[in-house]
Amino acid sequence: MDILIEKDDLLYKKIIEEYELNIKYIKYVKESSSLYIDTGKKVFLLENIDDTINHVISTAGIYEHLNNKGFYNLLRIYKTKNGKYYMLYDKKIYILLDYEHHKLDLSKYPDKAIRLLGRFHKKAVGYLPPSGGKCKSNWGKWIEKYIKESKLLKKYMNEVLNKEEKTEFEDIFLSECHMYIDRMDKAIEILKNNNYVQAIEDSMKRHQLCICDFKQSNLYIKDKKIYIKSLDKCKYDIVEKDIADFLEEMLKASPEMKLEELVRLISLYEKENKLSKNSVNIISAFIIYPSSYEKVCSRYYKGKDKWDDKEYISKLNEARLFDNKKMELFICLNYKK
Amino acid sequence: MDESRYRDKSYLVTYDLTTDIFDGFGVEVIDIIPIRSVYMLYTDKGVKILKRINYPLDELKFINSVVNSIKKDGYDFVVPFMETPNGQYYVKQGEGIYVMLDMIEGREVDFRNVFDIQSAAKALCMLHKSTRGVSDILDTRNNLYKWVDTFKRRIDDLYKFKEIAELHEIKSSFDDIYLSYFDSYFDEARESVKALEDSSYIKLCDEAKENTNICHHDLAYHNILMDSENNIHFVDFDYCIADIRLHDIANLIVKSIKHYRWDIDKALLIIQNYSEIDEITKEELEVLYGFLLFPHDFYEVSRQYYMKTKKWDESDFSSKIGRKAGYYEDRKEFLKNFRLKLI
Repeated sequence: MDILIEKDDLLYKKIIEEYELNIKYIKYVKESSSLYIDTGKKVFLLENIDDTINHVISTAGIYEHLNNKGFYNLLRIYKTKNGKYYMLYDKKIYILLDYEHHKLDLSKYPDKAIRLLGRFHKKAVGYLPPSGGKCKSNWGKWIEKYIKESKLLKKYMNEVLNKEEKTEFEDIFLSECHMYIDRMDKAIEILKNNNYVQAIEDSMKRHQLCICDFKQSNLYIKDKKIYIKSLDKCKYDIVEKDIADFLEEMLKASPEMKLEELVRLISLYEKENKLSKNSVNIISAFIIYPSSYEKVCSRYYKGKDKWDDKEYISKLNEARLFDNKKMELFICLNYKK
Repeated sequence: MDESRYRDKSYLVTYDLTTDIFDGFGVEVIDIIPIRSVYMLYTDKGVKILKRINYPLDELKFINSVVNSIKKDGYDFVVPFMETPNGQYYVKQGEGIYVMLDMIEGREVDFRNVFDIQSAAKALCMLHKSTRGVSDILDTRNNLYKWVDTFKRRIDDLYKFKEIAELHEIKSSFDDIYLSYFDSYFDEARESVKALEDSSYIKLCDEAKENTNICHHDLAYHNILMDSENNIHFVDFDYCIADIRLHDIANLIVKSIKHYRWDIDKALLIIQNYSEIDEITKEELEVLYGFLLFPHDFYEVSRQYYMKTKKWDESDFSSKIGRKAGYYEDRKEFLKNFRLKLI
């Protein structure tokens, strides 16, 4: 049953006061603190943001920066009557957006999507947060994360090797872990040999922002144009990581797509935003890294989930299949060169 | 928004927020937003931070003189307390003393990023050089010559905590972890004292007493900001003390590596970049090693647990000590490499 808000509710009054909306119908969106608002003329989403105010101010700054640079493929964020992009009520932060229900089938629009990513990166250069805003960064994160994870997985492998009685999961893990650990080390080696540090330095000089969530679920299509729903996960980073993540997303969204076609998307990207000579190598390092496999294994040895061995094995098999597909893409990327 | 965003709300409620405070600072406030234990204010004079201090007025005066002296002596990227229209730098309101500071526009440094680490290390050296002019060191803020005695006292504490843990008939998981790592960390703590006693620690303190050196003493990533022109700003001098510069250098090293597998290369990078401005000598490195050898993190979480100085849940404590114990091997390897490569 929908949970409606009464007119004498303080939140209701606050919304009217801040946004001057003529509300005809308002209810909580299922299982969230966000609100669906219908004015009769337009439908809005008042989204409850679970983050710090500094982050919200920065996200609004990104929205404005992109608009000023002529990038309009974004879900609109409305200002309050005082010109702010957020409203505070009862220790909660809200932003008002168009209510957007359109979805995108990425498998149908890979070319449009990659070009949008290229345009986004081009326009997202030079972003500096407004007063009170804080923008996070991933500069330097990936190699550090990979080295740490590879070390921990090796440690776990040795522990399992020394165990007298192994679980079924551990038997499967041991039979193949060397191969995946080799891939992890290969990714680290490629990053080290291909001026990952230089790429970070260049990105820092340009204040390059990445979207960090260029996924089907964060995109929608309307009037044949693709739009980005949320800028919430934007961080400073190198563009190669966004591109690699997008290729992985395409592998999921369009498993039947030929790998050569995926590789071709990189040259389409370059029609919008030029890459450096090491970019494809850096992308390939992100691709060869078996992140799905690592995730399942680390969750297992940290005992993070209450799954039984059978569920873990099923997750491990899914991860292996996906990471093996990524390995094929890695080979294809290198063959292309 | 989850409650952790307001984890310092118990401190925020002690603020006696009235317009008198804003009038006292001569600002007109347009909007107020709580952040951690401070308020961010949008005012007619720009974005400001309002902070209620939790230490005596003489310490505030000391901090004020430190920050002004640093700025005067050439390190521009620190934030002095804002002056009130009547020439003060604080406002008294009820029981509280409030200060206002400019909000720095920049991002927090990221210890995973080698460029941030390099810049922070160089900037720290420049900051230290700019503290030479500080005079009238407050006794309560003077940490010179105190390391060895403090570490000895803490060794006694570690032993007491062991006795408490052993007394518990039903041992908590914290007790179990504490007892299993006690011998190793206890040995390291004693080695640390021996290394300091055998080093030039006293001589370095003599020199620092002569020339004055102030340590920031709270070099968490959120207190080191990089602006759009890559200048490093140090904020929040609430914990600053007179001490040899190695105290800050050690803190910067540990904070940069403890979550990132105790990477010796990052420590070397910090030492190298700091030394590019003003060299860290061989005898300083020996003292630094002595300081690093002491298991500060293990001691701190154990003190918080056994002396009940933090109101965390049992599970929070267990996971904290578990994490610190978890990097025991990495830390050991780091200390071994530090000695091999630098001493």
